[in-house]
Amino acid sequence: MGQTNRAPKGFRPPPAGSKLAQGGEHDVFVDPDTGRVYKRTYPPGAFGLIGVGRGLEEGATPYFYLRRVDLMNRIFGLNIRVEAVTPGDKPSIVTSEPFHQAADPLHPHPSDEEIEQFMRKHGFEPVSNFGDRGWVRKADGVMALDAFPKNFIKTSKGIVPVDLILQDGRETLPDR
Amino acid sequence: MAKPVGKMAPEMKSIDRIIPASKELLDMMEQLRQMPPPTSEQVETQLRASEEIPEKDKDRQRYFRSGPNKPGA
Repeated sequence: MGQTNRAPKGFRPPPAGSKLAQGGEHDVFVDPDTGRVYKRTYPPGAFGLIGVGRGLEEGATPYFYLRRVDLMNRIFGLNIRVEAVTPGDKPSIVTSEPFHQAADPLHPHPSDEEIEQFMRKHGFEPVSNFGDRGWVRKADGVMALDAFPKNFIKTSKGIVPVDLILQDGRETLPDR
Repeated sequence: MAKPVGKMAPEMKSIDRIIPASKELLDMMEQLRQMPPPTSEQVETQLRASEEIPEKDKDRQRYFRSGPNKPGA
């Protein structure tokens, strides 16, 4: 995280050694001063997963990744910020979002039933032909993929989705 | 009736029809924003617990079209 360009005013890379985890799509850092979680797309030059046909594939373009961030903010009211793009031939996108503290830190994720209740409450229906973790909202065509418990936090105020893959269904790539 | 002249970018049309977050969700997020930042111990405990969830709940492999060995699975 030491080298970033196009960083907005006030952006400060997380301190060295603060890397906490490496998921399938991101390196994850927490800045203890701001309480924000920083995610850097991983590996360099890749921008996460995308729904293609009936499954997830690598190969999302920067457009799809940024669109996903925008949809998370619009649909769930999150506060995800695009912070930087790393330099070089294989850039990564760096975003930050608040660290959502679980009501029970030892059991931070909701159950499948609680996720289903949350998704249905917000207008989503399960998609039977996209694994068992895909949802679609027919009213606006938004698809929510990868809806595993680990991608939600059960806070004291309610459930917060933190790492769903949101796509506009009209922009979903055809089966390849 | 004449069709409107000029083209709107497809992505703009798409953004316009996205249903925004409900007031309930926005209120919840605001309440969360007003909470004190977590301690480093709370962060570590939560992330450790998150990594220990059953493997079946982490498993994306069963619906990866392109095989089980993809990074991210």
